[in-house]
Amino acid sequence: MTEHMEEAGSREALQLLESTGPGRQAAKAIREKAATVRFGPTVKGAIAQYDPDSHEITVHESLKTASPKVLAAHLAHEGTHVLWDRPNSIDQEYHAFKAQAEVWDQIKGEETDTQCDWVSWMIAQREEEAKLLITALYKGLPDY
Amino acid sequence: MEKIRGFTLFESFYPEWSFSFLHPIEWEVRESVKDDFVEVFIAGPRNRADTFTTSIAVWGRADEDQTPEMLSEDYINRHRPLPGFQTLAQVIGVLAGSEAVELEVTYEMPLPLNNVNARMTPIRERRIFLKRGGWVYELIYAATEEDYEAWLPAFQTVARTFAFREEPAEHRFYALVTPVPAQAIR
Repeated sequence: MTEHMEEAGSREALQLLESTGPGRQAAKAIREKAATVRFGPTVKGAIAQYDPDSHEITVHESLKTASPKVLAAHLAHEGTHVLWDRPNSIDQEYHAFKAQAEVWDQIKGEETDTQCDWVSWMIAQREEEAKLLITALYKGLPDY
Repeated sequence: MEKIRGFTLFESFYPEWSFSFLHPIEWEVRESVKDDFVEVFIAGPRNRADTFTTSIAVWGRADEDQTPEMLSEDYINRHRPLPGFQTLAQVIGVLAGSEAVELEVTYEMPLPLNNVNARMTPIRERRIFLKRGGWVYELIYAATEEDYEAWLPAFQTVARTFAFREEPAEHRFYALVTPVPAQAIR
């Protein structure tokens, strides 16, 4: 059973994303192109995923109680996929992780999160260093 | 170039990147060039959990200023904040007739990344930095800890056969990291 994110009281995450410089474009794309942002089950336990066919972002149901900052960072990642609106690639994943890291770095304050902190470290490296790791994570994705 | 069963020759498509080496024949190779940077990425097998691809990569880029020692120190400093980070070995040597530093490190990464089932997974990396003229090169091997030893010989073959065009045979390779890495830390 999925639940509409905004009905669940997490619209704060999207508003937070909109309030950040690096997340504004992703938030705008979500607003304009994605019909829904929902909590629900995801493929293989992904924290969040974007389905380009249904224009739906699903955030894993276990994140219902996550902080708006963590949700905003993950929405920045998925919002980048919405914004790009083309088949996935290592370059697209890099930019999605980059948006996640930039939003997280801007809003996290004293908060820590294992995944967002790791992504932040990865994106702080040279682009080729980050892409080397991303390539190891995803099998079969083209470079561009 | 010698022949080794199960390995095949890589030669850069681009004349300005005049290196070659042997790599595992069944691993997927892709070469990309952007501005003054070349990458040869060689994808090996996935780990048992299907969360990480064992890989070998060769990078080359224009860099007049950095020495292999500076590059290896920078690498250590950048990776030090990672959970579980340790330098296992750092050794100066010669590769393909050029000064080189070989580094072996370990750190932990949440795998799968951005996943509710992520587990902190030890990753082990071996990297050789070398300088030739105004260019720096990095030979990189990365695998999960559980797969590292299994595919290390493939990386050692890449390093042992790595050569610049028309390199005299006596300039090819000197062993860098000792068999017991911990003893090699300076």
